[in-house]
Amino acid sequence: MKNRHRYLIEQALDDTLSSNEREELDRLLRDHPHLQRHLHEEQAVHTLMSQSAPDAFEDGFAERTMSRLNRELMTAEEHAPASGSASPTVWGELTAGMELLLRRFGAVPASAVLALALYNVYAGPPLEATSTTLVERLFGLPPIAVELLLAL
Amino acid sequence: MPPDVSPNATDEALIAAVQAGDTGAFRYLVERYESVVAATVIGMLGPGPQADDVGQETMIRLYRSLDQFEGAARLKTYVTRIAINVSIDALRARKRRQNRLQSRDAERPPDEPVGHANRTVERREQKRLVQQAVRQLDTPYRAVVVLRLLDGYSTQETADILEIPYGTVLSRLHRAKKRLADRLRPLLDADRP
Repeated sequence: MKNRHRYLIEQALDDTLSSNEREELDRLLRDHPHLQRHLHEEQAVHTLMSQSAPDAFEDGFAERTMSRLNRELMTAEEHAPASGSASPTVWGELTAGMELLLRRFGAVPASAVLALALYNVYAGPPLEATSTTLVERLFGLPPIAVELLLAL
Repeated sequence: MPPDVSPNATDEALIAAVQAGDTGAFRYLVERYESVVAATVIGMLGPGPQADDVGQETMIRLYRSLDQFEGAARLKTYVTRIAINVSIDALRARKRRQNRLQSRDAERPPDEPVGHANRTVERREQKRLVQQAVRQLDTPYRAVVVLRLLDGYSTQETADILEIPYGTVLSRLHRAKKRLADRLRPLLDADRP
């Protein structure tokens, strides 16, 4: 299907066709009957999806978030002065990562503790705020730590 | 004059309060955008503890990045962009973990046909099947479907949030909808008069 056809169908589904586009689509549907079927099918998918929006988080999401945020801010403050070259943000994130592991697995894997210790010693650059999840960061950074852990 | 900090305050006033050091004001933003984040994160990951964690992480990243928020974009779009990026990161991590550890909490078995669905399928079951079909899509297609079809963003907004060209959204949507239609054929046929 051509991009122009996709565009017109999408606009029609969004109900945002201009009058010129509406005429163009009408012509198109007349000349290419299979597109009519296609439009109906897309409409059906849209309807089905609109009836299937995901649920909300469980009650207490705001409390959980604020309490985690406050914990992270506090931890960052507490640890920052004594943590060598690692930034407060890094410490907050690493600690939050540990807590996440604790919540999910009931224990912090030894490899994560080692990774944290190695990170502390190694004191790499601050972790990218947009890179990977907290757990993955613990396992993934710094590369030298992962190499060492794998070698153990 | 200090900014108005109440549940009804504008986004701008709440952001100004947070930037001035009032962490409590952030709670109102969390409450305001909780459903937006939930729709995106649960749409991408499915319901459960991981979605909750990713939702919290999204909000915390929002908090940390409010200093850089320029106000040109709507906060809703901004927080959705963070939510989709954190979700994509979580999916990558989940995949890596599964590959590495062959985790028991594997996302789900491949392509479970919905052939037994029929007119009597209850709404909840229908929802479950639809969300399951969405989670079987590859991440780039899933992201487009969640934003465009579940969250209700326009095609242009979807392109802006994902920072991809408009035409790419159109082609991913087209392919994704085709796959969804194939997987959800019994439901679509059941709704047909």
